[in-house]
Amino acid sequence: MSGTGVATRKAEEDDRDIFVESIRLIPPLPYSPTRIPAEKLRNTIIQVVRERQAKVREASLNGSDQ
Amino acid sequence: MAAINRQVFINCPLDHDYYPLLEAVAFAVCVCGYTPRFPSERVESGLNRLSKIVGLIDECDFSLHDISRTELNSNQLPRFNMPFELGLALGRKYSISDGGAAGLLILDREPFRYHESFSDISGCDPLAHYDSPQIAMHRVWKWLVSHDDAHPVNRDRLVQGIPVKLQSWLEMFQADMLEVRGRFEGELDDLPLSGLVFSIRVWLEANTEALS
Repeated sequence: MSGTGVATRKAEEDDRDIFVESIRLIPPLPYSPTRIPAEKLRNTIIQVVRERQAKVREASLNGSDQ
Repeated sequence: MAAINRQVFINCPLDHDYYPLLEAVAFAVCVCGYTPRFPSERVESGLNRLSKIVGLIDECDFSLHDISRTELNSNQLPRFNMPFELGLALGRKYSISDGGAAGLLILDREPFRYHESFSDISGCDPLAHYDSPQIAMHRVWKWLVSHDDAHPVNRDRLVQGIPVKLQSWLEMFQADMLEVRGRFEGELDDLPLSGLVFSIRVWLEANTEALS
């Protein structure tokens, strides 16, 4: 992996460390997200995040090839 | 001392104009590892609004009060709700022997504006957000981190990196949610606050899962 790719990966890992800690610490929601299709919303958010991250990785790899 | 319960009562306006600030504040609270709580989060006809608010203030070890929107309405009356709920929280804090809430933060639009209309809170150090979601987010972040001996991974790194990171994370979250809303074709146009908090949490989870 090139310098750009390594830097992107490192930044992603830093963010992940912080998010993992946040999620670990946040107490469970004491209520349900009323009026919205929760499972569908959850799956769609996860899908969108994955797609964005894949694009970012691809762009950083392509950029590093030039 | 008992462990803090990491729940933050959010006392702020719920109107359309305030939404960018509300979203930023809720985002910062979640990223800090806390749960934002709102009076409107539960549909419960058996309790009136005041009972819900008092119950929430009791349940939450932290409370955040934005008194920036107390201007006169079209009937020339000020909005009393936010200062009133701040009064309830302060009343609880001063009436309990161990000091009640672990943390209480007051936000306003400009520094020292409260001197002219709300001087009883002099000494409580209200902080100004200047109507900027970014500044409000940083205020909330610094406030929660300052109360949190158990906070994350590498505290120094977080504190130093956060001014830039919080903003870029929020922008990433907003861009992702725009895409999510598009895929729901209008179903999410009126996302309730409980849905916003749920979405932030799922987004944080998704960012950890996707990288694992």
